[in-house]
Amino acid sequence: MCSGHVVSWCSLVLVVSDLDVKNPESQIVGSGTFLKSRLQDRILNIQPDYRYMRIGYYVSMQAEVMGCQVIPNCQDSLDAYKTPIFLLRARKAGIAISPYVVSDNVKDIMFEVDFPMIIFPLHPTSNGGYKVVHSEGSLYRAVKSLGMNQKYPVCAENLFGRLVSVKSLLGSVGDPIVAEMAAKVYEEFKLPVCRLIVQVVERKPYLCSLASLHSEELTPEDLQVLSERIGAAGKYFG
Amino acid sequence: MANIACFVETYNFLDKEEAEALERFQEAAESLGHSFEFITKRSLRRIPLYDALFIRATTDPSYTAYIASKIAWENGLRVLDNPHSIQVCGNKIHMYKLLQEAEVPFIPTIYLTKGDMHQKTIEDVFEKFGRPLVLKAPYTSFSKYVEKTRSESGFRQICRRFFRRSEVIVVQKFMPTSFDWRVGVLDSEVLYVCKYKIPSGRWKHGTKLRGSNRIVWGNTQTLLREEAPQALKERGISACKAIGDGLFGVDLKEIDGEFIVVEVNDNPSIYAGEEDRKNPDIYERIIAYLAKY
Repeated sequence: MCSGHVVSWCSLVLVVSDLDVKNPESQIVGSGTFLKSRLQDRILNIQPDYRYMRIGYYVSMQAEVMGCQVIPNCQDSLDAYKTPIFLLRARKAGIAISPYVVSDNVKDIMFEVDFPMIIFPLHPTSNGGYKVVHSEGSLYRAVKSLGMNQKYPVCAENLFGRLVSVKSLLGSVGDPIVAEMAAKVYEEFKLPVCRLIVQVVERKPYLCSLASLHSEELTPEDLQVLSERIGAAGKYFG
Repeated sequence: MANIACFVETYNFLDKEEAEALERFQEAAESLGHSFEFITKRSLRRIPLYDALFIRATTDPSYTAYIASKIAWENGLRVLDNPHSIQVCGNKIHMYKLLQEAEVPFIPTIYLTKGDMHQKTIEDVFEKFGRPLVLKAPYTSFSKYVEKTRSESGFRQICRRFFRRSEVIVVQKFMPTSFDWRVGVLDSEVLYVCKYKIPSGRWKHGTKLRGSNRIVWGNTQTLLREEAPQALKERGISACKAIGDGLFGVDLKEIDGEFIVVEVNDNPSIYAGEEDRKNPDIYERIIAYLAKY
């Protein structure tokens, strides 16, 4: 039974997930079942990976096509994994980001960004991998390999702090320095499960990129956090 | 006067008809008093300096063209193709599902996930669509990643390849015709109408030659807009309305007098002497749309 203010939305949220999440106040269905159904509800799609053409993406797509409100939506999922778009939108949302440039040209990158740099690939199968470079030679090699022989540009960011990678579970992270930023990123992109790559300078975080997780990276404690936060996630539906 | 950027990749200039079409866009823009500059992936950071962005490089949510479109959109530029069009048309599953919701007739289609690959399901699919049937990867463009098969083993083999990039794929009824209609639509108005002929002995407009990577294309026959069947044009427009706003090329098959949609494509091909042959105003109309900011 639902009670208190939880009642206002708990019965309206359908959780679609292949993870072992539990919530007594929400119906939970698997992705395969959902994709073959015409279930209409407010959908909370909890998956480790929302990248384009992954099951997490298709669940959101199916929900959108049926006119449901869904977290996350397809546009946000697409944007979040494209580092320059992720940073552009994060900056507009008031989140501190690292200075960056997008190019396939070493000279252009060096003109805009100082060493050391973090280089993020933008090719179709990239997922949060990156290289840290300290010299023109290593930058050249990174642009060539991560850009698939310069077929795709890369996103180069100035590295001026300590790199940190945190799991964000419905906007909650273990690292208190990154907590406020993670909540803001969740408000903007609403990806229930993701990894944030951040650099920290004097306890101030600067957002660098976002990546998906593998199911194996989610511990029983992580699944517990997700399960507990399912109810609160309802407030993000309009 | 508008400053228009045209996002291209080097391959856009390899085919002389396509290169000439790009030149015609530039001439049309300049004759209307606008500036028109080509930009590449090297100049993405300059996008906010323009008033409008016209994308001619191949679009797909995974490609740089999507990043260009989204940068333009977030910076308030008028943009063809906009991120939503790329998102929907770049994934045929998304496109077909929207057509289905809007009740626009399209080729009989089902979707398969990896979990569906059981013998019984495969037999049911052949039972439903007959032999051969068509398998399509959601990211298909320029007739690539669309294959037909008669056998269960062929079916499994094609699925395995397509599932490498997408966790859901498309299966369709095989409906051979000697040509596909192409209706070019801008902002819910018909721009041009063509027949894309299927090369003799083949079943797709663009077909790989055996033992080679070269693709042979069927001829294109262009009609005056006014001469094209009204029902065809209306079906083309209704298909585009189900997807969104912008510039689209709708492929349709004419079967027993009925027009059924094969695909709605964003970023449709425009080659000098082909799509523009009977309707030379398409360049001015696209530029005028971009400059309307």
